[in-house]
Amino acid sequence: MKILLLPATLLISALLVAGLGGGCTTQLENGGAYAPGTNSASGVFVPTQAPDPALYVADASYKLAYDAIDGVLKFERENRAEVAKLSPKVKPALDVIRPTVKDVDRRWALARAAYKINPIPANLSTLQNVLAEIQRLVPVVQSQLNPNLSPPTP
Amino acid sequence: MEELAAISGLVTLAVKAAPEVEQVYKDAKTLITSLFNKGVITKAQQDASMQWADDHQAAVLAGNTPPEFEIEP
Repeated sequence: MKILLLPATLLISALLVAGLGGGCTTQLENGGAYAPGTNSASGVFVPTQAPDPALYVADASYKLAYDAIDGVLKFERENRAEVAKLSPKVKPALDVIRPTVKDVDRRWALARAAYKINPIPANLSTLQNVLAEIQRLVPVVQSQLNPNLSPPTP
Repeated sequence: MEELAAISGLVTLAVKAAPEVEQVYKDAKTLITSLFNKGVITKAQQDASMQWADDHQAAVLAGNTPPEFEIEP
């Protein structure tokens, strides 16, 4: 388990270092959901709104962090009896975190909705702050599983 | 013998977790590659990301949260 979760944790940590669009060189292919537009009769791409690489990075980063956390919570729930047999400490530890995850997820949805209606820097900043919160939860959630699922020492 | 059973249980759980971890790994790799290598985010990648985020946002705002987020007895 520890070995399997380690690469994901490392990559997510690298993502944190990469930052959220600050100095980001992400390029969006024309016509995608974050760079919408149409081709004119002469084949020239005409954007219908400015490309938004910051929202792409925020969305993709959120999904990554969310999946990492949800994966642990779902895994524990679906294998509760086996996990409890190996360590009864896992469920109580994750139960402490579950309400926080739910709250962050709700605030992310509100922040994203606000940004999509009004894509101003202040709303992007709020969205990025919530993203930072869920990213901070990733190692916290994963650490509840890793040390607790080690086989008992003789 | 008890230790062997515990190790066996760990291996079983690790195998069950592998597909989910693999998906997170793939998503992370795609995103990091695009950020560090000046990669172009394709239309398909953009559309998939927007679709997930829009769907998830709508679900959360409608009060739909997955059961694993709830505290159960």
